[in-house]
Amino acid sequence: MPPPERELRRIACVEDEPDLRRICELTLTRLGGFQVQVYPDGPAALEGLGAFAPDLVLLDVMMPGLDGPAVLARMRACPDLSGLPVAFMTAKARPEEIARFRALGACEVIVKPFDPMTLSDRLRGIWARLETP
Amino acid sequence: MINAGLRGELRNLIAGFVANMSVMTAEMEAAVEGGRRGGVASVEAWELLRTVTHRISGSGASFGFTEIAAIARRIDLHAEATLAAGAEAAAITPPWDDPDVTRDLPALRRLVDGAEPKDSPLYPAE
Repeated sequence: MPPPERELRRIACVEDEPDLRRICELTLTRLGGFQVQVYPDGPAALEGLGAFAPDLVLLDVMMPGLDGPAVLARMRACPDLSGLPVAFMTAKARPEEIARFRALGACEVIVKPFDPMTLSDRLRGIWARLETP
Repeated sequence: MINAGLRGELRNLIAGFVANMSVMTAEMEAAVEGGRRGGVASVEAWELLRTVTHRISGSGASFGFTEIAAIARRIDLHAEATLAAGAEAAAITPPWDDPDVTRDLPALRRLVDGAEPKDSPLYPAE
């Protein structure tokens, strides 16, 4: 979990759909003012997250190969990445699915389709809740 | 305040996504039509249908095109089940003779042709 009283600055976005990846990158960078690094799949993220050192990871659930839950499991097993907060992005919005994602360790589940214009504010809200004991 | 440049870029991206759904649907139509004429093997056509509808289903839902995503998902699951039954089974009922595909693929085409970028909840308002 993030250390308290620190501003949310760096966001990693793992999303296999290229247009959606670009939309997240554009809005988070230009509207949110964040430093953003995007990854097209789980292996690329697992390789790059350590160096980028994000404050928060936006992780797509359904991806070919390693899906979001598998990426999260590998992150939790890696000392450098285990403490990173992860918010899943998914079109699977049934309550039992959301409960399962939270049980896996996601700090939040962002249901697709989401409004990209409010994504930055949502992430700041998630960050603020993480800091609240 | 959202600047006009960003709004335009987002609109272009969503328009590109919608156009790409049409291209992907055309890929499937070409495979089915090619198979009907003897130029594409049944298993190959089923595999293409599964791969492409899987992509449309996931991406369509992400962009809020729920009807398109649902029908693509139906074809995806049907193709997956057909292929799971084995290559022989997939060859016996090729997609161009399959009643589900001959119903759902034209329906998907109609939906994709009717899709407008502004129908996506991601499309930035004025």
